Amino acid sequence: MKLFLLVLKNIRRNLLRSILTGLGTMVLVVVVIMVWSILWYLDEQTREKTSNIKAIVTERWQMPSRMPLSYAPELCAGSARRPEHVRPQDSMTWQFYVGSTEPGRLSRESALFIVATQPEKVLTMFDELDTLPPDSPDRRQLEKAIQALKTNRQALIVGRERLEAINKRVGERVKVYGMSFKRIDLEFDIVGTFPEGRWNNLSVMNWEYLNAAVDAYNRQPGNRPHPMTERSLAIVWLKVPDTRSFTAVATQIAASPSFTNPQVKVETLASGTAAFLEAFRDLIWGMRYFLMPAAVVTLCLVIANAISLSVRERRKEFAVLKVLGFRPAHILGLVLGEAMVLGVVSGLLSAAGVFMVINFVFGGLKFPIGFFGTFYIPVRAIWWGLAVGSATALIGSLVPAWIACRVRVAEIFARVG
Amino acid sequence: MTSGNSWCVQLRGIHKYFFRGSERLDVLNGLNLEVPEGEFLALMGPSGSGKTTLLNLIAGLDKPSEGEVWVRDQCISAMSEAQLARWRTRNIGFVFQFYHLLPVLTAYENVELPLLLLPLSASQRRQQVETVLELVGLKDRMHHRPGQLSGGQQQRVGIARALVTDPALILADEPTGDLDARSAEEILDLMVELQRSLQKTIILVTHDPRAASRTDRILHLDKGRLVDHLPTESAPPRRSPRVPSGG
Repeated sequence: MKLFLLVLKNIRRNLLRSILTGLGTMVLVVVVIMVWSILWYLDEQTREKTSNIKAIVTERWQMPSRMPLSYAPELCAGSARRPEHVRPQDSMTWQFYVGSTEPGRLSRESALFIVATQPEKVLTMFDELDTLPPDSPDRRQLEKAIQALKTNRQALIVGRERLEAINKRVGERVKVYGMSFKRIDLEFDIVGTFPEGRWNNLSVMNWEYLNAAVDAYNRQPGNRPHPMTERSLAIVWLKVPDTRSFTAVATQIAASPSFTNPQVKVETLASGTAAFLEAFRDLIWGMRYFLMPAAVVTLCLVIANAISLSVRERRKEFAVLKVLGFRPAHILGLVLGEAMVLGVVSGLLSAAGVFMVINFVFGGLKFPIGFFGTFYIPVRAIWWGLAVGSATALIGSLVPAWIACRVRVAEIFARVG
Repeated sequence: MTSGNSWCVQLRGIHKYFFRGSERLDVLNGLNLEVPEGEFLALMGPSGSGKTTLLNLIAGLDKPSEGEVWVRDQCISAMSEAQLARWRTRNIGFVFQFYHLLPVLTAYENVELPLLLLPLSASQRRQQVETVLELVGLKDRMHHRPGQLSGGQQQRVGIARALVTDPALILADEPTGDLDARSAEEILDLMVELQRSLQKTIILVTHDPRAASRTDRILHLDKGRLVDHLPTESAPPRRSPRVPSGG
């Protein structure tokens, strides 16, 4: 503690340099934290769980997956045909209706990516929505919107960013011109939004509305059956309690004679996401193995440079300390301490700052990759900031600190005298 | 290993040489010296004669190539660097020509520095620091930083820092070399006073004959050998009749 005060005073010695070093550290820690947040989130999404597993059933050989809607009932039951068969705890079907608010033109300002599903499943099967606290305002608001989705087939829940992009508000009506279901245009009442976060760009409609519209199209005199009639089902989601149940359900579906044309595949959400992210493999590799190390190495060099300058200027001072009885370990500790204080303070400040600014000012980090449009800085990033700041400070200052503690008094004062 | 006598410093057959490439440079050549407890000794000699090297050896800042350095009962030339550092804290006070105070610390904090290495409470440290600052007449300036003090005042702080651990031996390397005549005289007065009142052994390296004349004994180094050492008792008070000129 006695020497810690000396460390603090030494940091104040060249305040401008200390501030600049701190700022350099902060900028690089911000970069590291933002990249880590994305990688961490993707890792979390692709990490296999052992309980509360979500499985996805898709067409085996084609992307995007297009299965007949007639597959839905059996798939939702996990193809359980015998009493001893395992049944999923919950299930949900997804049909994708992509459309535009402007006829014949799909732009960022007009596009809507709508999932047609069972309204009651939004709160039980959608990631992150299924864990909303029971009494939270977000949940209450969503429950209200889902109720509207059940009672009004034309209801639509739109993600916040999408709602802003198409320049509409809750309560307004919107006509969507079908792009994936050509010639099937739908009118919607916007009844609510999702909580801020992962589903900012998604919209959800009642699946009955879409399927009724397809039926109506097919019934119209002169119309041939709509090409999407037999291939409108994109994904079936199943919730199973554990790995054993997942394996059983996957085996049941694979063994079913119902799913031969087209064939289907069952995988966990994690492995499905990982397969999807394969398309971004190079980008993620670059972030993980090039951008991150580059930022960390640069950070080490910034600190090493600043501390080296400081050590070079203070060689005489270290010699004086040795004359006064300071041991090499004391001097090593003083120099490392200065770097560590700078690193820890800068790391903590930048981590806390980036957490607040990215999450609360910018509403997340916009980095569209796969389904994930917006990333948030996790609270644990504050500890990452601390760890990155202190570790790079330690590494960056090791050599200068070693040089400082090896200062030979006789040589220094021979030069002085 | 003990020397078993009343010498404060004893050098036995000291050689110090360096190598520049294959060439050997002899700085000290078979030097023997004994400094009794409580003596105020001046070391004089031209530049490059080995004065500072000798002082560094006595302070344990450097090691002799051959020979032994004894300070009181300890052969410091056999100690490790860490042992020497620990030993210096308690046994050596060092006064530099250019003061070498830490610019970020106040006078008080500079003087307190060596005490941070000792197991003392904050109040004990405070008491010791204030005592020595009072001794050197700077208690009223103890919260000033070196940049706010004159050269003479900074050297007083340097002396206080050397005294604060109550060491047996004070080594002063040209302590008046960077001061004007008046300040130099004040510093010498202070050192003489401290040596008399506190009975410290002081070894003063200087080029200045006037400074040397204030000591009990003057030794002259030339080319790494002691060529002259004369007691000053027969001279006018604290002055040597045979001080080599030109330092």
